[in-house]
Amino acid sequence: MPDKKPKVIAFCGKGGVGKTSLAALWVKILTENPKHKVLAIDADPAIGLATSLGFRVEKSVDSIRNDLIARLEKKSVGSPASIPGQLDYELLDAMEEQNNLAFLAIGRPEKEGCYCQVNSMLRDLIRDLSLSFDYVIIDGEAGIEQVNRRVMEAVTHLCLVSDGSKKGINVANTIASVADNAIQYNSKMIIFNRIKAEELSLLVKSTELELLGWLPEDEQLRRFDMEGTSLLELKASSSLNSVRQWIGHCH
Amino acid sequence: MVPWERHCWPGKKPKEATTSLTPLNLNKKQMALFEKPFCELIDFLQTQAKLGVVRSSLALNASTWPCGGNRNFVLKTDTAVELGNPKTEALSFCIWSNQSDLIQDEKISLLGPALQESIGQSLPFGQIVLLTIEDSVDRNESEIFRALEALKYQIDLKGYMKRGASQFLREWSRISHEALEQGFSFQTLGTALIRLYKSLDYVEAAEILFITDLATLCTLKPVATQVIRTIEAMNKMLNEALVDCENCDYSDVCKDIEALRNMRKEKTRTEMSRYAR
Repeated sequence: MPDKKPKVIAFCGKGGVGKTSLAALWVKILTENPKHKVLAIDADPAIGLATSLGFRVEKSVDSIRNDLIARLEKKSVGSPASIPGQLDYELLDAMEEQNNLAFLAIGRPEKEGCYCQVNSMLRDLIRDLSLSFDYVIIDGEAGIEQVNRRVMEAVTHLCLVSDGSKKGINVANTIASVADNAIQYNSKMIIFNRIKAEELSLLVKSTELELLGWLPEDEQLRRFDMEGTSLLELKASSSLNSVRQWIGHCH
Repeated sequence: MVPWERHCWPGKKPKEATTSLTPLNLNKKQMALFEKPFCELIDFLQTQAKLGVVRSSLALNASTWPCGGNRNFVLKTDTAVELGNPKTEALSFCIWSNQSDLIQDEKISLLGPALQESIGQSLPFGQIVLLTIEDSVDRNESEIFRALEALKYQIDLKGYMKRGASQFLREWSRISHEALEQGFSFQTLGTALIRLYKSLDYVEAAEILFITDLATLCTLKPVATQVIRTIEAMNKMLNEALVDCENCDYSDVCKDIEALRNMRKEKTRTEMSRYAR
């Protein structure tokens, strides 16, 4: 069987625009097909995607990295050739699973410098791990830092999320232009979240990004968010229907 | 006890163990890094064999199981049997001797339930590889250790996902339902491992022991501890610029193991000659 490359969809944008909820809805729909293997990566240090998907994070990539760095400093890591293997073991241990969904939390952003080799090793391992899945959904850190650090090199579909604010659109546009140099994506689109229908035409004019769709404020999502209920338990909602259509369009 | 594999397979005739297997028969001049735990394991295996609890087979002539390639992650939901989960006991190590005929070449032994008997379970897991290494003055023990360590990550079998934490001598793996339905067994895994280790020209013979029984694993923990301490002592010695035996936590280990003392002498000699230059 030929190796199939996964579709890697990253949600980026200003903080508080609803990236996490959108990523969670995307995960919910993709995992409805039991044949799909889905990996959800929470790259936001706030680890909000975990809550939205009903996972409890006990170990993050950041804690694995810190542990290895501590062991490197104590010279207790064994042979250098075994380090990638050790990290791979820890990554599996950090992974949460529910049926055809696996979840990995990145934790705090990586620190470059003396340990950039550890960071790069972890990045390679996550990239290799992604190859085993059909879909990888990344809930990105707010702002453009993550794209700058090239942690999302493997992204095939970049979903920029903005609310109706000028700041939200500016951040989305900036990320899009930075991504042009850092990511070899197949598609790059914008989703307007929590806006009113009459605002759409004006918002579309303020960006050159292709519009994937828009969502109004969703009371049900807000309630799930407030209660900390997993969006995987969402039975029906207008947002879910819209996202289902977009996924059909994207994939 | 249900027989595991009764038949042998055609191919290269493996070497038989001909020596009476007790530590006392060891030639002191040939003491390798792991000779003591090696002999303890041989002793242990003999005892278990007498009790009739070991199920054995020989490795297949070639490893014909397909490779998993990039897409070899086995999710929990697709897992038929899990081995060595971090929440259970596990040990995995590879040790060697220069003394030929201590092990039975290409033999794969199992202590505990087989994979087909354990569907849906998460089992404790032990994997012990015993090798006979060609005795050579040109090859030092640390080189052998590094080569073997690098080799074990190269196992790639479809439906078998393995992760190893070598610092704890643990291994964690999952075997998919699909693989098990297609006949994946410890013989499949053992064959692949034996073929891999024997791809090194200085590996003369290889024998593998799999353990899926908790009590047996616990019995072997002290042997694993000896192996860990030996590896840690060696790594410490190799990683440090100067050897300071008086203030070393592993001086008791070096005292017992001639190969480590030789390594230390060699390192000191190298350091001295570098300093003299």
